[in-house]
Amino acid sequence: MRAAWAVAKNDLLLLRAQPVAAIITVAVPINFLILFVLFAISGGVVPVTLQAGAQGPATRAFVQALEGSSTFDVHPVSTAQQASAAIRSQNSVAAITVPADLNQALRPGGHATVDVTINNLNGDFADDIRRGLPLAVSLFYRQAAPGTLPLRWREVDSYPTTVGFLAFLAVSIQTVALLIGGLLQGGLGVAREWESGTVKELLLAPVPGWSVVLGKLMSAFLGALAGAVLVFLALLLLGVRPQAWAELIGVFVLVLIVFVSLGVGVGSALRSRNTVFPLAFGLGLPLFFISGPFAPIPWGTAAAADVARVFPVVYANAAFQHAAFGFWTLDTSVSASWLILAAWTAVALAASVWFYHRATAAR
Amino acid sequence: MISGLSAPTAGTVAIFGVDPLRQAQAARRLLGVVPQETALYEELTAERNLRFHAELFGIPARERPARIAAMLELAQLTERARSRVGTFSGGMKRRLAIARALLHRPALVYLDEPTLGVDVQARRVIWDYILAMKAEGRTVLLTTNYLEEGEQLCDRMAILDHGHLVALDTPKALKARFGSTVLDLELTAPPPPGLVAALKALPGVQDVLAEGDRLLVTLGAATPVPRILVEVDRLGAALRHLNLREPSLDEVFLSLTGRGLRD
Repeated sequence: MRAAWAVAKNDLLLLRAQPVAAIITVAVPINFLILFVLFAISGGVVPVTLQAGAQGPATRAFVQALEGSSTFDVHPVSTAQQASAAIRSQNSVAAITVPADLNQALRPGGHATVDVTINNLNGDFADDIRRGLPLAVSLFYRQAAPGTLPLRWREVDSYPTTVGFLAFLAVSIQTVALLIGGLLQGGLGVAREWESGTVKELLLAPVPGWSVVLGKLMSAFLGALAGAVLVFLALLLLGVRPQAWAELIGVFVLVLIVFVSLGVGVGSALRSRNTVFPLAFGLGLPLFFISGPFAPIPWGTAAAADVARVFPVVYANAAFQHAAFGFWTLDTSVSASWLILAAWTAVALAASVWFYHRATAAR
Repeated sequence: MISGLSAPTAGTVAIFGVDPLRQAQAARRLLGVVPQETALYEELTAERNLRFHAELFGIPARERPARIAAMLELAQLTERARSRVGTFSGGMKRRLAIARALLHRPALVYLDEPTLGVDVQARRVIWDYILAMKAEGRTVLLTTNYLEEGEQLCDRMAILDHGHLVALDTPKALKARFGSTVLDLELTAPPPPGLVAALKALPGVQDVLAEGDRLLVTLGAATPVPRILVEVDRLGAALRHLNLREPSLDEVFLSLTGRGLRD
């Protein structure tokens, strides 16, 4: 333990002297967080213009229906020219024109036409209009003329609270912080010893290899933890309030041990910082993206879900969501997921020792 | 192999009877190593490098400050103790690496090309350290491509060629193998045909080597210098300069290993 603590202390001093890994550990997840916030803002509702031919009760009911569909950010305009200008300046995804005789549509046998000009520059946003408008029409009839709509629907929430899209996305950022931070801190801390030749100082010391690995794990853990805590503070600022702190801390520690250990193993195997960097990003990030940051993995493709289930990231995401919001998004049970995370921790720790031992064995 | 980082393909290694592979930790306590590339943490200070070494080697905390200060003094780096090693010259780094290797008071100090790439003044300082280590009774093992360095510092020299031991002896005995004396003749023109063979045939002449206008004549114990000069004159060669001297270790080395390049 004496040697392990000496190695850890030395590495932390090196981290302070050369904080590139520490900066990246925080910068990458924070950038993701910003990206997700922008994604949530731009992807939540689409801006549309509304030109009303009249201001009667039917028109008011239609505007309410548009706003109630959770699809449109409605901007009233007075003329068709203003609506066209908004589309040309990319301030609007659609120009909706409500006819003056909209109330005709509420009378038996009557009809009216709502004109919609779609800004189809981006197919996804155009589809938002195509999906949202029929919903708004249904809501309009449900509110303004209930008797004319024989088919109704009844909503029942599965969970006691609804989690906002941004909050759902944001929690998984914690996994990115631990994934990138652990791999980089663990990998770079070991690879640097080979690149600078200082590994000889460790190899020529009268200390067992496992104590060097333990020291590397401790320093990488503390380095990555500092970054991950900063990211967590950012999540608190966004309004995330964990429901189960013990679970949160537990998954935090386990996941960090997994990725720090894998980083030490990778660093020992590759012995080059230039290789550790792309590997951490090239493998880590795609793995993260298929592991349920945007939605539960069964909602995606079966192949991606099967790949994701092999790795710990998906269980980390699910456990963080569980700790933060109280719901469970995996078809693997909570206890089984914790067992898988524990098994990954044991395997990753063993791998870090094995790779270091293999890299330093006398040949 | 000595430090246990490589396994020997044949034979055994022991440091004062300790097997560096089987008893790695015990062997490493006996050994102080100065690697060729110094293996110092350049982002950290000189003092921090020594402190880390002291911690790894289990030097008691109460003894560390005094030992570190003594080693910095030895390396003449006391004033730069808190400077980052990355700001040091090559000679300063080498001195610090030697100080670090001595910090845990090893019985055997191994230096891998300790003066490679350092200036003349730094080389002299490093030589003084090595001689001081010898005087303290430590065993010092160094590898070098500078034979003058080996001659100055070593009691015994081993010459390795392509991984094989070709000689192991005192510098004096090694030179004696080449011959007791070298007669270095500088002629006014390349030697005439037959001169080299005629000189080789003389009694007491061990070898003759022609290099342009020069003839290097290796002599045994009996030194028939006048007869050699007569023979040079008889075969029509004119002498510009002559020098009678001891053979150099470079000549010994080349005679043992040949003149082909080693990559």
